Amino acid sequence: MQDRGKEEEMKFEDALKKLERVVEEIEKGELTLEETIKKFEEGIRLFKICRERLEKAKARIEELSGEI
Amino acid sequence: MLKKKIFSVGEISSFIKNLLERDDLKDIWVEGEISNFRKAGGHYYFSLKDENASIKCVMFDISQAEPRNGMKVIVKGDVGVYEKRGYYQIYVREMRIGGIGEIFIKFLETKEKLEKEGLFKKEYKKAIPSIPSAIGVITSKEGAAIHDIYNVISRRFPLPIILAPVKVQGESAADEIVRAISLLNERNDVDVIIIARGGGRWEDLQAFNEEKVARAIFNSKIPIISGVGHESDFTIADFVADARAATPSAAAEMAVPDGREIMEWMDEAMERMERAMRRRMEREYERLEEVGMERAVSRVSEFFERWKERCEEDVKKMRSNAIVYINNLRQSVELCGKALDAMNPYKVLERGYSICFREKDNKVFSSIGDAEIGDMLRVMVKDGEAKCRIEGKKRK
Repeated sequence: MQDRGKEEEMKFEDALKKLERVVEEIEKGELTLEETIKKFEEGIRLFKICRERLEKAKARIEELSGEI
Repeated sequence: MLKKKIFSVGEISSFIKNLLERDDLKDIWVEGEISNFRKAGGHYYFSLKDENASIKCVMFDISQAEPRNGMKVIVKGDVGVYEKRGYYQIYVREMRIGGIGEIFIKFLETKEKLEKEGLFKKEYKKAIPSIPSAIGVITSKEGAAIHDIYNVISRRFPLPIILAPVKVQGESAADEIVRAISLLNERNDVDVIIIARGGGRWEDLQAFNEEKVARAIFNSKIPIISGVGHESDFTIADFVADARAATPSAAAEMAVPDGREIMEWMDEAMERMERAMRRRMEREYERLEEVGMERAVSRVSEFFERWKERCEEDVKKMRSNAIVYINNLRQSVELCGKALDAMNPYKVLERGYSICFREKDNKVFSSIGDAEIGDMLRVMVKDGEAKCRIEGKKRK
């Protein structure tokens, strides 16, 4: 499940873009049924990752260390 | 008097007033630049300043001149103490305007120079990422700007803010801003920078008009949004930045998207996926129907079982409407399988019916005209087949 690890670390923007692509691919209907299901599962995972990130996200201020 | 241990406020103020209101501080000429100008109650209130200092002024006779901020002027008046508020000021009686302030001229010169070089050109403006990972903020640690930015970001789209604390006015401000830009560029997590300063007097924004600050903004690899001063104040930093916001809050809004909109988009994406899957299932169902029921039923149910298992894990963890979508989809998938199952003609055999095929071509014998006396039939029952000959027939 290496891919899933990568997905977790993915930039939010990239995850959203990927979700968009997945949705489009499913909508096009050119994949085999098996591939479609895999895409659907991927879509659900991406949705979940994005949603969790949004819900968990907290603003915090980190001060730049070192002399300015 | 000074030997007395404890003074009243009035006593010490009056003492100071006597110290300052001396003859040699009366009828003096002072040269400086007007700032913080306002007109109230038929009087002018402003400060006169130069690089080193600033002094409050009040002018009661407003018929002589129309001062504006940034004007270089020479005033004549007396130094006086306003005891009620505890400050000293010049009571101006006369004012001579000395043209536009030097600061403003320098601003215009720098602006023209950099504009000629092309630093303000649109083609050099870097795109602001639609969803950044972390935001660099260059501003004062103490000012209101960082709080405004923090509030907007935590409300719209919470993200880590990397604060590069700098002085936003005074001699070292420009160098600190330049250094902060380069430090933030060395990091690999920041993908947009806000340079901010809350509203203030125009002359206090001079660090943002310095050429070296403009060049550092221009050379930054990370896109920079300027949010300096108020709506009406333009600085050179505003012209050279990749995007200009009127205030620090507006800069923060520009830097991050609205989380609610993204949430809505995601829900919509989920819905689209669900609709597409439904359509796909329907198509699949029709296709399987064509190739033959027996295989269809087993393939579909086997497939659904596998899929359900695989989804289970995700579904459990999902919340809110995503769960509803998946449950709906799963239900429709199950219904689809049941419908297929119910329509399987072999199922009826279980219930005591049989199906007859003509032996010569294996076509289903379903009408009395389909076969003649003497023809052979294959009769299918739930657990086997029998060969039969037609001995006679009668139309209903």
